Amino acid sequence: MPLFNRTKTPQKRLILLVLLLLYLASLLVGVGVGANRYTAGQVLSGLLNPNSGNLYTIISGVRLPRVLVASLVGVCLSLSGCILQGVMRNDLASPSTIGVTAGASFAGYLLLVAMPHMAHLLPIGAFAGAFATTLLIYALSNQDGVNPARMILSGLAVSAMLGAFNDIIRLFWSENLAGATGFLVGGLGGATWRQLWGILPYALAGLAACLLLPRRLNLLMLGDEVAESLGLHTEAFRLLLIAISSLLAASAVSVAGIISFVGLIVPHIARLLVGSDYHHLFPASVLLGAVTLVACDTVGRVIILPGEMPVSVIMAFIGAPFFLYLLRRKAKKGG
Amino acid sequence: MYFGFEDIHIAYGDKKVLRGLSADFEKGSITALVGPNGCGKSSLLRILSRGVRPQRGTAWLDGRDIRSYRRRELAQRIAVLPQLHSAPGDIDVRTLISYGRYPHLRPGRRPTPKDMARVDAVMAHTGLCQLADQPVASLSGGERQRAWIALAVCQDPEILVLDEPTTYLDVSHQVDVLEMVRRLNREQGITVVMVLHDLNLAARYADRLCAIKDGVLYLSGSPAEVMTDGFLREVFGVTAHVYEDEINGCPYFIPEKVV
Repeated sequence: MPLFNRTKTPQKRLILLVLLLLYLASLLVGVGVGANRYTAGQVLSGLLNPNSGNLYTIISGVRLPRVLVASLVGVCLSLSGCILQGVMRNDLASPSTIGVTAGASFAGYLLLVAMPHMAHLLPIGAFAGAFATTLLIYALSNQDGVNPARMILSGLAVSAMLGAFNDIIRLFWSENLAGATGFLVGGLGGATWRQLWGILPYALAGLAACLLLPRRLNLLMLGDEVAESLGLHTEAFRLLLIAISSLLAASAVSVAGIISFVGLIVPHIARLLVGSDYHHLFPASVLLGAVTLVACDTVGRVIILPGEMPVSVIMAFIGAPFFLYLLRRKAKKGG
Repeated sequence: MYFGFEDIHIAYGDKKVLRGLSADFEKGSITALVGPNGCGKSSLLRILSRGVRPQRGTAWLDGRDIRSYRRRELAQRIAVLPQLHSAPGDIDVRTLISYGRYPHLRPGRRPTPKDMARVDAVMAHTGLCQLADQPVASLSGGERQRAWIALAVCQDPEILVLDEPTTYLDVSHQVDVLEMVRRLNREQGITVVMVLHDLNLAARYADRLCAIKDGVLYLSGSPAEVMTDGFLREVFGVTAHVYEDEINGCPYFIPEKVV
């Protein structure tokens, strides 16, 4: 799989294998744990035996789609973050820190209000919003390379403004917003098979596009000038990257609303585990992103029984301190 | 003529950096571009990798506008190394150099054994074999510069363009890097164009000096023709005494004061 980076490849494959096992384990736990707790045997019969009645309804009808939607959302946000960090050449970039998810969500609201009969096109509306926002942030923060402080601050300002617009829409047009629950509430509480099928094509398109990127993303990490000297059309490639990361972020936002920090933390830890080569970084982010969201959602489901804590809240509690830690480390390095 | 620039104009906002610069370069030679800070040398070089588009004028290679080449095709012929570079911290020397094969790879295909052999050959030629598995970030300044030049050499370019390859290096590493560049030129026939700040080193290692002033090619010729006290006064604004280095057969100067 790796094209250039030959060193330590077996180790990295082993790490990927461990992540895969971790993901399968998280699926099993995610399906088994909740208001009712099931053993592995019960989970299996709930998955495979349609005649197991209540068990089948809960396991295959409710929990399985939920963990699968959680996985997909985690994968999309992580990959989106991974790509954005390459676009900006900065590891503080992520869909939530630079306002991409806010843009997706705002465009989503706008679509639901202006064209309620088009609600099924939510992912496409959200994509347009995410794409426009990312371009805007890139333009605002780019001056001979992306200035990180400018990037974060522009993202903050744009997020705040779009958030305010969202509040206005919620305030005045609440009756138009009945349809899309996950998108509005920000969580996986309403995740169903229908939602999964609705989001899957967009997510798969984004995932497939990622297969084409690693080699060129690696070049981009050497800086624009070197990448250009090697024959890469950096401007065109950046646009492609921004489009793909927007599609991924928008897919996630349109089923689960804004879940912050996944796209920041996951690529970061993935980089610590397998290094900066995108041939390894992408698969590691995919697996780790799925694990993270399934695990956090499962925790959210059991932490305040009989109630449920939205996964976005759990992520914020983990992600915000992590983000502060990254900022502090950057400040120390003077970078 | 082999390649060059014609009537290049570049401005950043109101600031005109180059105003109608034309220059051409001979195959197989080493040319040093010299001139005061901010005279547009780096912008000029970036035109060659198509990272900067001049407002007017063209860069040409073998009689054709470089914009008419496909980017990959151009990258197989010209390698441009910027002054500042940074790579991810965990990248090792061999990996860095291997990226030079990118323009020669078919899209989506892995590097062939031939590509990997080329990487090894370049490492041998640039004295980097023992450092192959070291992270680039852990190298000394001189070694790091050699690794980046090796990346460009691994592109197998006909033309190697270097922007201040000796900046931030101490004198032994400056000489080491320039000796390597000259070896590449003499042994592999690579045409070299480089920006150099140190005029004495430029006169020592280049076949030809091109001086840029006020956005145009002010003067060009052999080091002996160009490096005169008049030139130093008019282009750099210093009075100086120029001497002849008889052993190396090139001029050198000792500055006296700013005009």
